Order: sequence, then structure tokens, then C-alpha cells
Amino acid sequence: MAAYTKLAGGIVYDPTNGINGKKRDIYIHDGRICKKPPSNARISKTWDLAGNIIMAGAIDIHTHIGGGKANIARMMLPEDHASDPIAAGKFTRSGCGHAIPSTFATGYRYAEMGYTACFEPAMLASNARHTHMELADTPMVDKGAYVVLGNDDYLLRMLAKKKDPALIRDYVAWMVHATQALGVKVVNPGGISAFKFNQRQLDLDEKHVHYGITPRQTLNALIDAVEDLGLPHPLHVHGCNLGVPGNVQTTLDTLAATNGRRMHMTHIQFHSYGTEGEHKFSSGAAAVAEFINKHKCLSVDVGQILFNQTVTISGDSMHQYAGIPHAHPRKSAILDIECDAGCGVVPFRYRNRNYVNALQWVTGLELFLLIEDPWRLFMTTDHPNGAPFTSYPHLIRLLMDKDFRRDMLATIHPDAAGTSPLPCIEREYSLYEIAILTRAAPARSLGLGNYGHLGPGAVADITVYKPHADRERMFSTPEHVFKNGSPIVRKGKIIASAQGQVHSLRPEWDKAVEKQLRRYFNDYMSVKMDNFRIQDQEILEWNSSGLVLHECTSQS
Amino acid sequence: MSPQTKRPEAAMRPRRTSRAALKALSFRPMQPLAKPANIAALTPDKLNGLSIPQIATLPIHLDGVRLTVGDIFQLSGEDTQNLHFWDCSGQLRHVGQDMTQGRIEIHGNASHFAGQGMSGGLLRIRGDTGHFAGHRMSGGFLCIHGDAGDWLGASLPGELYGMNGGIVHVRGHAGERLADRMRRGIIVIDGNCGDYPASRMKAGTVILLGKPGLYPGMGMRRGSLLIPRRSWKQAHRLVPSFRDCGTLRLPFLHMLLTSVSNQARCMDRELCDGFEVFRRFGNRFGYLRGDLACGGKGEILLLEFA
Repeated sequence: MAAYTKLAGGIVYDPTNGINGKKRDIYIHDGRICKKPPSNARISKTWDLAGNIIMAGAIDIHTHIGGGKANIARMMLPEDHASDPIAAGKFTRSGCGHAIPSTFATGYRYAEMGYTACFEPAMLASNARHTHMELADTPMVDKGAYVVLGNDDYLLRMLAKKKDPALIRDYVAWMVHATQALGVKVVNPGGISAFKFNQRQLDLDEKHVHYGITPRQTLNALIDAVEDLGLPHPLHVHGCNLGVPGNVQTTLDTLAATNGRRMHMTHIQFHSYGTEGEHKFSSGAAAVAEFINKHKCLSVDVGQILFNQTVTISGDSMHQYAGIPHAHPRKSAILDIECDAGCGVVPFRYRNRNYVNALQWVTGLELFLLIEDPWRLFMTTDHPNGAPFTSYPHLIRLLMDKDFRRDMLATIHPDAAGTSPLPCIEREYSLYEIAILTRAAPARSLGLGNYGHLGPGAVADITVYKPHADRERMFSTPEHVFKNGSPIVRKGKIIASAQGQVHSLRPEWDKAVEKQLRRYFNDYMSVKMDNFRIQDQEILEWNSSGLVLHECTSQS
Repeated sequence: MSPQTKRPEAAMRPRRTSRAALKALSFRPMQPLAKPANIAALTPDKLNGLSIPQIATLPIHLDGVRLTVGDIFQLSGEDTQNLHFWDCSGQLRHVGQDMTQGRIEIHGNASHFAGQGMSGGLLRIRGDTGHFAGHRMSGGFLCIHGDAGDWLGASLPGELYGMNGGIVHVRGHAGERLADRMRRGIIVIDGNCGDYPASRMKAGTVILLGKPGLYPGMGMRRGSLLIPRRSWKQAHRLVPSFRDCGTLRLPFLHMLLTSVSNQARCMDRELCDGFEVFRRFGNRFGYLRGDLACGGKGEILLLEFA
């Protein structure tokens, strides 16, 4: 009988099981957390963690760490790599990059911050094989990806012809299977396709010039399909009008369009701008937060920006194209990918003395502090679009320490600070709430039953922090990180290599959809349908740790 | 023309008097180098004011493994503004990175990124270099006695521009993609070069005394590529978007020569040797204009003997 490992005397924050800062012993057996073993069981290793804080391994629900766009950004930014080289260590490979690190550096840095799972939100179907191979090269963390639909020709044709929702549902399910996805995302519904037909904006109720459908129709169809299939994660929506002043109204309309159905709105900070004030650019965070507080079916992640050099990578070609004049350094790439969707890469430097950037920073923090329910709010910077993920500890400190927040507020453009209610908001996040934001809530939203908590049966992905008044320091160098029960990080440094698993779904669907699809692939696509689909065997070949399948609660 | 007065020469070398007594600092590997060594940390700027024992403790990367200078090199001499590297088996990378002053000599071959980001001083390599020599260079003088690899004075993929100033003189041949996206400065090649010289060039001057490879000046926006007409006849493939615009009379070549050889002379008399050949050319140029697909402000000038 395999021996037990004991984590003794730590203070546990486990929101899923309602444990708020209680002293508990945790037992690990065979890579999983278990109940207190019988007294005659052999405990092979006891870690004395008295006074330390124990949380589950953190989960990043929205971080662009794979897919074609990350590689394009890497190719485009040799200076980003040259400025931040990482030498090989005893257990680690060399790497480089600050804004868009190499895959290995990404995995190591996430683990060194106590993250044990990361999810790539924008996997284009035709790029899925590449994305999974790239994720397989990202060590230390568990991973998964959401497939991007809503700008692909096949779906838009179906919508234009007003096909039966059941057919759309089966197509979505087929795509989730074929691309080994963990969810479905829609980016600027129909807008990326409209960009290719020379439309430079597409509001929620504006018609696509070719297909004649509106983003609202696309959104409705996909929300219904995802609900129908019972995917654990609701439709992951990157809305219309990203970054456009005055887009808060579009965002509220989009949120209202759900009519009580579940939806996740991502990087909502970029969608919460008004047009008030002398700069004709203001924060609409209060209205958005109020709406979300009232509607329990909605969840959001923030996409906070932090002041630094970074690179914005997004499938939303339409709004990336609009951002080209602001590129720093002045280069960019806008591409189409197999008529599936698009890709825009624009390097960007957020400056605290720039009014627009300062207001984006303020808007994000307002959203964090005004949205009341932490279970429907996830902490992201939309890596690398708002800031590289390595800024998370800084962001946690901003949320947990109002004096620090005020000090930082004093350094930004005075007009942005002046109009904001931020100085008056007294709210400080507690450790328990941070544990919800970064562990329990993402795991629950994604339906990762055995992840993100410390109850019996959970996978033993555990992070141990040494309490420190400076929360940035505390969260940037965890004392210990355990992955599947084995220690991988000590005092913020990698001590052993690990390979995470791939998370995926298997919704049920009607085989009949393949007949139509096969014809479409033969007529229009660059690969045949059977080659397009990623087999389980391929995933296992690239990623030796294996594939974790999660349950769908199909209603049909 | 007779621009060689004594005055600029004397004015531009003030340092020699104080340092004449110092012996150049020499680096010799204790064992033959079998792996690439990154010696970006060993430049006159970074060693300025350090003693020999201090220099021996500086970190240096040998094939990605962190060691100290003393682990690899035997040091002799004391002048930190005059560095000599001996017997390094062509393994030195990033030689003279970001140097702004002083002088470095490599007695043998150097590897990739020689003179990367240098903005002043003299870097002389008495052998060949690897790829991307003169990358990010914005000033100073890089003299390569042997051949240069590919991408001399060019940008890395993804960068907006290559070499941004300074003078590079190659006494041997240069590789492919010479001066790709070059923005400013002067490159002189005594020998031939590989395919795509001056591709996507933004500005600056490349003087090639031997034969160019295929497709010179492809995607050239501005800038000048000078080639002797004699070797042009042997160059076959010009992209169709270049236009032959007849001949021109321009006095600028001699001004260019004066400028280059004055700068060379104030560093080291030996550096001027290569430039004497210019005197044989006259003021007449064949004038090819292009690349018309990218604005067409670039020029390929065909030098004719006087």
C-alpha cells in the first residue's frame, strides 16, 4: 500500500469546501488529496507548514499561451526575447521573453507563481493541432483550450440559411470533439468575417454585408448550442466593439441579450468605456458591474491592464487593425487564417501618464471592486494583452491593499484618477476571496470537478505561501508548489520538472452532421475532414501525461 | 583630390599619450574552446576601471552555462581599453556588444553577432565572422579581415531595421542578405557577396568591389549599392522592378572615400589600406533605380574606372 504524505499545520483557504483560514492537516495519497488515513497507515513524508497559507494550485481561465498568434508575436519581437533571456537550469530548459515568453518559460513562470492550470481561450479550429502541440510543450501546468467559432464560413452560412438549431448544435459538438476543446469561445461574433468584407465595425444589431446576419443572431445561436450540449463552461464571449469609446452600451446590450441564459464575458475591461468628460473617454465600469451584480447567470473576467511594454494578440482583426497606429514598436501583423477567423498582433506599451491607458487601468480596478460576487469574477490580465501574466502578484496586491492602490493612483494621469470613484472604494480583497478568484471560481466555471479545491478526492495541486504583509512578494514566490502530490517548486524556484495534462470534453451529437461537413471540407477546406480531426492518440503522443475528459450535462 | 591633411588625424587621437605605457589586455583560453562563449561582458566600457582579479571573477556564459572569466581565460596585460583575444577557435559570440569606446582585436575567427549594437570604438577581427555581424550597430568601426557570414549589417527577422550607423569593412567576401533592412552607415566589401545584397534596404551605403550574388537590391526602399561595372556584367539576375537610368556624373564617391579613410586613419593607420582602390574609380556611374515595387528611391550605382 502506497504511503501517505502529510502537509501539517498550514492555514487552509479552500472556498469550494467553505474553509476560510482554518488550521488543517492535508493528506496526499497517490497524487490525490484524501481523508485522514487510519492510524496504522504509513506516512512517508511530513511537511511542517505551520504558519503557512495553503491554497489549491491557481487556475488561469484566460491566457493566450498557444495557437498561431503567440508564435507570430514571438517572431515579430526579437527585442522582447533578447531583453529577457533565461539560462537553462538543472531541471529547466533555457528560454526567453517578457511579454510573450517561449513555451517552456511560460510553464516555468506559471509554476513559480503557484499556478497549476492554464487555459488558452482562442484556439482557431484550423490551428487546433498546432495549439495542442504548443500546449504540450508548455510544461508544469495543466492546460486546455476553447475553440473559436462564430466567424467561420460554415457556421455563418448555416445561420444565413436559417438552419435548424439542432444542426448548429451538432456542428458545435463536432468541432469541440475535432479540436479537443474544453469550451467554445466567440470573438467579435461575425465581425472578423465582416472585416474581410471591408466593414470596419459591426455593432450588435448591424448586418454582415455578405451573410446578412447580426452578431446578436450568432451569439444567440451559439449560446443555445452550448446550453443544449450541456458544456460545463458557458459560451466564452469576446464582444463587439473592443476598445471603442462608448462601447459600454453595446456590452450592456450583449449581456442583456442572454435573457437568463448563462454566458461568460471575457476581458470586460476592454468593453466598458463611456464617452463622457472632456477627453470623450470615460469608465463605464459602474453600469457594467451593476448589471452583473443583478444577473446571476453571467460571469466575467476582467483583463486588467498594467503599465508596461507588452504585445496585444487577438483573433479580433477588426479592432487590432484599428490599433495599428498606436503600435509600439511600430510594427504589426493582421492575418486571415483559413477563413476560420483572423489574427492581429500589435505590440503595445501601456503608460501611466497617458490618459487613455490610465483610464483603462482605473476601469479594470473599478470592475474588480464593484462586482460583488467573487464566484463570477476571475482574475486575468488577458495575458499578454493587458499585461504579461507575471504581473498577477502585483495585481493581487492592488486588490488586497487599498493604501498601495491609492499610492499607485497618485502616479497615473491626474484626469483619469480625478473622475474615478476608485479613491473612495474601501473594499480590500481577503485571502479567501483571492482564493475564490484564482482557484475555486475558475474550476467551478470550467467544470473541473477535482481541481481548484482541497477536499478529499481532489487532485493534489497545492500551493503554499509564506504570509507576508507585501502581498506582491507573497504571491510571487510561493514556499512550495505541489503538482499531483509531488513538490515542483520551492521558494519560487523550480525543483523538479512536471508535465501537465490536457483537459477536454466529449459532448454528445448526431453523426448525421458529418455528411454535410464532409462535403464542405472536400469543396472548400485545405485538409480533408478526417485529417482535420485530432485523435486522442495524437494528444497522448505529444503530451505523455494524458487526457482528462470532463462530463457534459446534456439536456437532450 | 588631396584631402589627406595632417590636421584631422592629429585632432582625433588624443588618448594615445596617456596610455602608451600600458600593455594591452590579452585573453587566452586555458583549453581550446569547444563550445560557443558569449563574451558580451568583455568590452572596454564594461571593464573600464576594473583590476585584473576583478575581471577574472566576471560571469560569462559558455554554451549557456554560467562560468567566470577566470575559469576560461588566462589574462595578461593591464589596458582595459585595448583587448586582445587569442586562439579562441572561432567560438566567441557577441564580441564587442554595445561597445562605445576603446578597441578589441580578435586574432582568429569570431562567431555570430560580432559588433552587435556597437556605437563607437574599433573592433577588428583578423579572421572570419559568423552571421549577423554588425547587427544593431550604430557607430564605430568594424573591420573584418576574413569573410563575413550571412546577414552582415542586417536586422533579425521581426526587427524594423538593421545596421544604423558606423563603418564596416570586410576584406574578404560577405554572405547572403548583406545589409538587409540597413538604415544608415557604410559597408565596404572588398570581395564578393552572396544572394540578395541590400534587400529591403532603407538607407545607407554598401560598396561592393567584387561580384554580387543574385537579385541585388530586391525590395530596396532607399540607399545606395555600389558595384564596379566590370563585375556587374557577370551578375545576371536583377529584379524586373529596377530601371536602367543611363549614366550619371557624381563627385560624391571621393567625398565618401575621404570621410571613411579619415575616420579609419584616426583609429589605426593600418585600417586605411583597403580604401586605396577607390582612387581608381572616376566620377561616372551607371545608374539603376529601384526597387520600383517599393517606392523606387534606391539606387544601384555601377562604378567605372577613371
